[in-house]
Amino acid sequence: MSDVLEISDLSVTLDQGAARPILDGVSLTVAAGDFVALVGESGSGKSVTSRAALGLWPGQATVSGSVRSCGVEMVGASASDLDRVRRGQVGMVFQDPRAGINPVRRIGDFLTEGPQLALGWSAERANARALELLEAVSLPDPKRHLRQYPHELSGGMLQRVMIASALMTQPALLLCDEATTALDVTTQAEIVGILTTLCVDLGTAVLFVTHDLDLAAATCDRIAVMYAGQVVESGRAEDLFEDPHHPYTVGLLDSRPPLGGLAPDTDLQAIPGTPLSLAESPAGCRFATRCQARTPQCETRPGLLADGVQRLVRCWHPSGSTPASTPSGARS
Amino acid sequence: MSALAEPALKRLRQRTRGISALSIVSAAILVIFVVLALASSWIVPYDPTAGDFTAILQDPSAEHWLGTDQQGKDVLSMLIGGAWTSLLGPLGVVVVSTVLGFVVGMVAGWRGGWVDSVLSRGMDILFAFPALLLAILAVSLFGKGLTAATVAMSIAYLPYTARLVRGVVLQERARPYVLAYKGLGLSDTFIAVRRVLPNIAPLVLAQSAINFGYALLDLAAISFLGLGVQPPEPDWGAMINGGQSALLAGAPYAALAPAVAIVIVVIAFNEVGEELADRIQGIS
Amino acid sequence: MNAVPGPAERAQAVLAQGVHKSYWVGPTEITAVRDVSFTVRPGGALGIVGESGSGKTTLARMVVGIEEPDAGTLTVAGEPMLTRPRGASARVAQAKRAQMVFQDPYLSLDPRRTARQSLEDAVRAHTSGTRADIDARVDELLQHVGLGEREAGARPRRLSGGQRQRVAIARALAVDPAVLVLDEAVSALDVSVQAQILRLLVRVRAETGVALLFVSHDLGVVRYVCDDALVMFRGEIVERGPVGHLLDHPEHPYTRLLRASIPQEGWDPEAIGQARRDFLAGLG
Repeated sequence: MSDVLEISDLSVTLDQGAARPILDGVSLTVAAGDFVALVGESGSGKSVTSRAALGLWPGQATVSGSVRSCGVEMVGASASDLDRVRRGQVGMVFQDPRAGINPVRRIGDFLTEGPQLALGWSAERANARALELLEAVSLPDPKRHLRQYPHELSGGMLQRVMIASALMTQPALLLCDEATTALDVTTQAEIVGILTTLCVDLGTAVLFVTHDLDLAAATCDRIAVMYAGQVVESGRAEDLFEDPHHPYTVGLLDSRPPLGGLAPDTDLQAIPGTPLSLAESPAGCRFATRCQARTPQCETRPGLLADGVQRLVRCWHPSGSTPASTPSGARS
Repeated sequence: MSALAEPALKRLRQRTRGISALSIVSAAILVIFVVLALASSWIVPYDPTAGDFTAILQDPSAEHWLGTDQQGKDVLSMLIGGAWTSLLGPLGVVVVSTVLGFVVGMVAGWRGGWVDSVLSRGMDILFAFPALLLAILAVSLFGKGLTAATVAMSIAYLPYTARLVRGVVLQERARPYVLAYKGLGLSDTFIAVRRVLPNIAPLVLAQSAINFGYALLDLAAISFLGLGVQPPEPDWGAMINGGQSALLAGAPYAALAPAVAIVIVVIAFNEVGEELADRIQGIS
Repeated sequence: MNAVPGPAERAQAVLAQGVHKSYWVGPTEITAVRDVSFTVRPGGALGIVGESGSGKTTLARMVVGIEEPDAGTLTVAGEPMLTRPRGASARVAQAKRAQMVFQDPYLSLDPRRTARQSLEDAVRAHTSGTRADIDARVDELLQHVGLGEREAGARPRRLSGGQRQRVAIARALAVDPAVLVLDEAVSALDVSVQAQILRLLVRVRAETGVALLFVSHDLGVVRYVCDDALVMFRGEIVERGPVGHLLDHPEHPYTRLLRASIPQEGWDPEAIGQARRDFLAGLG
């Protein structure tokens, strides 16, 4: 199976005033039709990573490494290459649907305009497709919604419109950046259900960016956990939950109060300190200042250790079943 | 010492980063005008009120850099001498209208209800009243001169500040931090005056800087009409009035120089005010 | 509307009986809270669970006196909470009954005050001690919520979300309230920081005996902090009980839907979506 997204050794540094690194050697692949979650807290660089798939860089940035979206290299891509990928092959859904939609245009125009202008679709074709997708995202009255304005719909309904819009051209990859975070839990569940069904049907791969490890595990096959601009651990969702290797993953899992209650005589385990951005974090292991298992070795940068298929961890002292110490993708 | 100086320097650099060159130039121009106004009596080359009938309507020369008017007064000296009243008037307008605007706006926004309705309608009425009509009214009460014009303009500018303050106070009043202060049992007066006022002041003062430019323009217009500063007291608006006939006689400098000065100062105040407002909005 | 408090009310930290609140949006009346009754015992912890529009925030605001009920009885430590308590002593007394911690820790702190200054304001409103007494109390509060000297001297802008929320909690505790109302107080925080604040709240409750009214949409978090919980839907309480029992054996269809909606092992979002549509359709 071919990869729709192939990020390798991506580093990004902002150049406003003093240089400020925000991503450090991120590697990530999403195979066709795959569901991959990118999990992290604020400042982890998860949004920057996902936007890289569209060749969207924050402000003035120096970018090194490679990002291939549907086979097209996005680092230093030409305007026509960027257009081709953004218009037809990679879709995106943001956290706030109202930010991404023109408030004075009808929903129908919003949905059909892009494909008509960019891909030369006929009005009939675009309209038919829009209607079909609004039905697929379970909106109650698609024909009426096409004529409505954004303010007439609730946040949950509008987010479905955004999903429909992102899938108009049947892209190979859909980026969801905290797409359900602002919604109520019951609405979130319904929309994630719609999203997954639709993407499976269309064969669209999903990169699901979220702060919610449980949601990531319930939605995706694979999870990459980011901290301070690095992927610190990645693997199959169930492996990550059953046997987390990186102390940060362990900490995140223990930070969530379980729905079924804590086991007797145990307490919630918080990670000390605050999530740091790459620029604030120590050289060497970026997590070291918050880590309980820190040793002097952690002052040097750990490489990525591979453990079996698709399992990587960036730590000198991984917990759980010890991964085979075969450094992979480690840089100096 | 250096340990203390270093972060201060860094902070200064952070603060000045991103300020447009135009704003810096504008601020510099304003400083120059203020210095000229303050030092005018020492630096004017001629007495700005004394004419010289042997040298009327002269073109710029080495002796008279900006020429002379029809009474033979040195235009440059009048420009520098007039800077004082031309800047003092708007300053009075801005100070009075800002102080009163704060009072009216805070009371209206904070108390709400009928108090707000009464004050807001009052401001609407003032708003609808032409500033020039107010000026004529003030002149009939106080007589011609800078005081009457300043009082009239202060009243005319009051609704702008009051409305802004009221709007910001309404917004601020619903903020959780104000609710938290109330929840702690602090008095409304304490919260409004000691805590909310300092938070909204920078934004309102930025607006006042912009108002300064407009007030200068309006006061110049009043002096131009002969209702404000009276000759021989030098003033930019009065100078334009005095220079009118010379303009037709082909000696434009007496009217042109103060006009250009007004345009420059108004634009500079506008630019600085906008920059301040932008930066304050960016912070909060 | 509020009857004279009897012994039953005085025995409860919070007592709500038939509380009703509605708003007018143009010509339509929207009921935010409908006939809600509950109690929180002194030192107890009650969770109020619901989604947006459930009325949970309105309820929280009424308990701290930001809003008053239209009908019904709501007392905190035996007394009704008023939006405008009369006189300084009444304000201070009301402040000691209930304090609130808001969702957004940035907006709920005065942007111009350092953490230490914010706490000083709170302490000063409730003690007439010397400067040294106040400093000592502020130090004690800072230590209590785990803030160091550096954080104490920083304004909100330079603090992380978790640190800001610690300041907000310390400020609320400064007056030693009978009830602490937390309105989604941890939902804006990163997961790893959220756990720190949750642990802090549990510790604070154990050490000070303050009762908690914990408003949240997050069932796992409510289970960790609270003894009992009630589930609200469209302004009404649909189910209540000990939090463990409520989550392990939900009876009302809405509680079940809410419970099932949380991402967990064997999560089936499609089935939940169908259940949600069925539930909403069943309401007509």
